Amino acid sequence: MGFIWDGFRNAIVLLVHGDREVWSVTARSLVVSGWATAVAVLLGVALGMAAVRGRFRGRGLLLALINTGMGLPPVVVGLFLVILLARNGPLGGLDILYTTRAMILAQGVIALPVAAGFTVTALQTLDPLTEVQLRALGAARWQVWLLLLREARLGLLAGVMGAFGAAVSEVGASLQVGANIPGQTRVLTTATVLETGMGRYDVAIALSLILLALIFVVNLVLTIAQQRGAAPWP
Amino acid sequence: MTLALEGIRVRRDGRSILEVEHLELVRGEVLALLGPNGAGKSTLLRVAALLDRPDEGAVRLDGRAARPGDRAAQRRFGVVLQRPLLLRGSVRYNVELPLRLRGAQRSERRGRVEAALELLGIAHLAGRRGDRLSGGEAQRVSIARALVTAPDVLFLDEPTAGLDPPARAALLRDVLTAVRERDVALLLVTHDRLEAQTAGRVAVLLAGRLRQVGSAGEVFGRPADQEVAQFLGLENLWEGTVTAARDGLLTVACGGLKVYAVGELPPGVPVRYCVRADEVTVGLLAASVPSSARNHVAGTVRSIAQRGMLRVVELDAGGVTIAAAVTRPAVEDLAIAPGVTLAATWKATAAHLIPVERAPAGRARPSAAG
Repeated sequence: MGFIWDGFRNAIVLLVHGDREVWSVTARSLVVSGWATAVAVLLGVALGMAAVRGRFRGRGLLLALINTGMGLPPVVVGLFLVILLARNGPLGGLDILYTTRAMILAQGVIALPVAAGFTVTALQTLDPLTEVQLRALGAARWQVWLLLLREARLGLLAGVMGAFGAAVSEVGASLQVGANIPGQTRVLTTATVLETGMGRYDVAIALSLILLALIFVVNLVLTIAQQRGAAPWP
Repeated sequence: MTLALEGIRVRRDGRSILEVEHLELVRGEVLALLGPNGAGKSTLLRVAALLDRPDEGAVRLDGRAARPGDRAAQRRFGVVLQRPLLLRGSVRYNVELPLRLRGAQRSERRGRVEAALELLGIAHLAGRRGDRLSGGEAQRVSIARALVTAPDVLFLDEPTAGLDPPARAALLRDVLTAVRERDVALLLVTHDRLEAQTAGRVAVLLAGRLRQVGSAGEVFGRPADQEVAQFLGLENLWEGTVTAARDGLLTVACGGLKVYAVGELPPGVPVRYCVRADEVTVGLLAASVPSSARNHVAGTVRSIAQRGMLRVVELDAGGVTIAAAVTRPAVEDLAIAPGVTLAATWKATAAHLIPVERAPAGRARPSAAG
């Protein structure tokens, strides 16, 4: 059991003294998952809005696909992206396999249904007459949607948190499309897997603590933003 | 300003749920759209307010056809739906919102918001959160929000639903004062007959069809047909036949009763004889004195029921039930109790006859609309 405590002690030393490699991996994680979340939220909110408001055939199927996507296995996403992005694959011309762009794409695909699913739930909890009332107030179409999103922001921010959590904690697809190249595509999750495999528990624990702290800080900021608009229970 | 509905048809699932040949609303007018739940009142309101597109027909604003999405026309309206639907944020934010959506300057917004809040008596709530208000307060905010842009037409969809009677009366009084002060046309959707009587004109909508449009006095005193009369809660509605006509005074046999009404119908016409309980007075038989009232009927008190501030006394007279609305002191002074025999009296001019074959059920009366 001693190696666990040694691991924690060494992790704290690494963190306090600021190991360059550790911080570079952390920064890369934040950038990759941040972009993936941004793209996923942008597209996911649009998809969620279409699924809620749309009157098209296959709307039920779209909702089912979004819900299924919320449990999308990262390794499956990674596998298909490798096939698509491989040099002789349909998207091989993009030449982004084993780069952070491919990792953003992979994490974005995983996070998108999460953002869309939360958007659907958030919008569906609003009174259906809200949209009619906003039009009655003289709002243009884009103003209606902005105000609806503002009304649904508690649920939407939960969606942002969920999407970021799905992106930053994902490891399988990032390993497959990023290949865990030191200084290039290594992020906190893939580095933790590598260090654990090599028996360097202190570094793995340090990376895990940073990952947890990162998730906590991001969610803290989002939670504060979310709860500013929340009505306390009576 | 004139808002007109022309040949409106709305269908749902292949079934016609609203048919309005013509309905008009002019500046400063208060029109109550009265009907039971499910009659299509909210549908009509949403079509008229350019929120829903009808399957047929047109909404004309000052003679020009306007459609949903026509924001210039839309922005001349203020709409309050059945629920207040306040957005997250303060009362001030909510009332200011329509002005923000129109790109109004900050200084203009402030003045208009203060004025609208004052108008509805809710200036003290300006800083409160919208979700911390009582139902009545929230509805007042919703109305202030609709009035803040100084609309030409205000649409209110059952604004007092869910409020207790005192709050209901106060809200309606304040709304009517506000629209009259600002010369705004008001379309008041309601299922409440008393509420509808506060309007200048009343339109009765039954099963998606306008059945009668007229002044409150006309509609409530002279319902167009039996269904309207029943919906309006006309307490005395008896089947009968005109038996004689002389100098405009008709004699009508209703069951075992011989009663009188004013009209121009030939003998032999089957009719519904209507008279409001408010028009019927009751007195002790011995106290009956000659009067201009044509109808005097003796009856035995069957029951006494409370209706608001009044009591409705039901008399059994020759197999016909006569309802009379009286005050509580009148009940006490005359010692009205079940079993007591009283004389019921009403003028022939207070009665209204509906010829039975004139208005088949389910058809609008084109002459009454508009």
